[in-house]
Amino acid sequence: MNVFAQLRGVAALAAAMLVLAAYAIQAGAAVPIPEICQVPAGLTADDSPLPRAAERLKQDKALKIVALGSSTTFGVGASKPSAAWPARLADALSKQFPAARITVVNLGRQRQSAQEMMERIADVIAEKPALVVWETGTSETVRHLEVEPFIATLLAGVDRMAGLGIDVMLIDTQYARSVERIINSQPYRDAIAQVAHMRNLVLFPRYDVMQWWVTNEKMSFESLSPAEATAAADRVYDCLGYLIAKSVVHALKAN
Amino acid sequence: MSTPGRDLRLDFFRGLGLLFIFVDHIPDNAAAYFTMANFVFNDAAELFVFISGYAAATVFGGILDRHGAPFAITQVLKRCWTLYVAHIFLFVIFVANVAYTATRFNNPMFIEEMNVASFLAEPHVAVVKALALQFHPNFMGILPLYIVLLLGFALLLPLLRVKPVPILAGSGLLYLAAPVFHLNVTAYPEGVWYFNPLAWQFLFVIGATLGLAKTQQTLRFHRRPAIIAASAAFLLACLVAKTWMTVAGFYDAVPPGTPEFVWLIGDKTNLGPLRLLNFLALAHLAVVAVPGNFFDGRRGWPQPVILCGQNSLNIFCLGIFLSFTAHLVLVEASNALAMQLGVSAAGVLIMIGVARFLAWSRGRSREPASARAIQGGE
Repeated sequence: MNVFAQLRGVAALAAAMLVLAAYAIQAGAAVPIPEICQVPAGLTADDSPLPRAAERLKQDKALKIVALGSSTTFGVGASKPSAAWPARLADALSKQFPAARITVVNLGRQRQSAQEMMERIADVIAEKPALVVWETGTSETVRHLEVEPFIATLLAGVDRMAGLGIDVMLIDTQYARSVERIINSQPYRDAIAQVAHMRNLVLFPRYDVMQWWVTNEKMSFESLSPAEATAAADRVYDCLGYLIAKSVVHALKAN
Repeated sequence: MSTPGRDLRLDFFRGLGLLFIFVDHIPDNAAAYFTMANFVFNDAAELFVFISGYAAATVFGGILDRHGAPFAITQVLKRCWTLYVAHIFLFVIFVANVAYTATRFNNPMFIEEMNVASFLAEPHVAVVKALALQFHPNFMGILPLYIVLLLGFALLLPLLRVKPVPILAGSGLLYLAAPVFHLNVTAYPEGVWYFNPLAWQFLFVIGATLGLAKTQQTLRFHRRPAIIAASAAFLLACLVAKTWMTVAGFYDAVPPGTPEFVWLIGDKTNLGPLRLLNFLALAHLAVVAVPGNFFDGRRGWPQPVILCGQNSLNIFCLGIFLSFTAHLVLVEASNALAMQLGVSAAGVLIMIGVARFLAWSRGRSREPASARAIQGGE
């Protein structure tokens, strides 16, 4: 191969990297994410759309979201209710769409399985949201519930809401090293991923994100004093708010 | 090492099942992509339960014929006791791990996850529930199932010898009724048994019936071209469908709008019909394709697997313990791909090594007195 062909190759590569860098800056500018929260883009990449929410945002200049979930949606361990991830998500999205009215209603209730959340689905529907962010799988893992009915429940819930013009986004379980020693969330995370695949839903991989933070020593959840644990919970929820907002924005554009 | 006339195919496939169970039980392990669960709808659990039924029938059926029902039943019960003690041993290891973690890890953000340790607040209840086989944490469901199935088998064995058809029919009816009427055994702290014994008993009874049947009779049936063709066609369809699901990403291959009941035919708790039929087709073709003397006198690669199968209880418990240890290593050290493959390979080597040691040790202890034939009935 001659030298010029090689140089051309290098130039093309450099040009491609410049384009990528420019794109990255643009995307970064979209939702500014604090450095401590950042994870590789590939980790949260998901090209599924949020068609109904995008439509409502365009028409009404408003976006109403319900956060349906268990203990961590409720905000256990945080310093105050406004530090839970649904509130942080509202904050991050409002920065992104300053002209729109963004509301996130927190319907997280402690220690609930997907089945128990379905029993109060009427409360969710009554809020008339455009998007439901559904955090689940932890209670199933802890209680070692059956996987197949879990999948059926998720599908039924997603389909019910889709029929009412509500988009659904899924969030899987959280990660800490000590917790991994004593429970196994893999079957339930797989189940959530399956449902996301089947209905082409956006999945926010909370487990992978938190595992990345821990593995890369950005955060630790081990041997913390009570004050440190509260600070860590606030930071995690804040970061989740930013990253979920990023996924929502990406999905709104994907239509 | 093996008693003469022993069907080494049973040992081989049971050994293979035990190795698969070990690899499958390490969460987030890439090596688990090489086990049968990725290519067919059943997994090693079916293999283990079926062969356990078959082997129990051949071993204890022989004792029944030579020494009569009361002695055969006591031998089955002795075996149950051994399994029970092994289960309690594994349970103690589990409790030690949970208690250690729960005492040291105190982070309110994970309060829901730590609920898995809530039984520590009422040890008086938890221990009794464990002794009553109602408390089986992660991955500890199959041994209680085996114990209960073998207990039932102790009563069933004499009847199965004389009237196999009504017993098999009754067992099949119970299998069908279990999911329809939601029959299962309650578990502690909540829920039901992960392996529903009322459903899984059918596979054990099928194995036991075949184990007691005259080999010539069943072989004539197994070798009918039409039966072979039916099994092969069904197995091929399952193989293609499941492999496609694995490659394409689990249920991605299932079209949207698939009715919910379709999920239940692959249900593991109630041994869904798809899993059962898939396994039976697989077992049938294995019996036809692998002749009875295939492994006799054969050295080389099948030998270590056969040894694992011949020491099934010890190797099963060791496998559960090792998968647990491997998981700890992945959590604490690194979960890189190389580590996943490394701990899986190390575990398999340890299981084979221990199986070899057990075989050697048993061979030695037999030398002076060769009259202890019953002990071979693993």
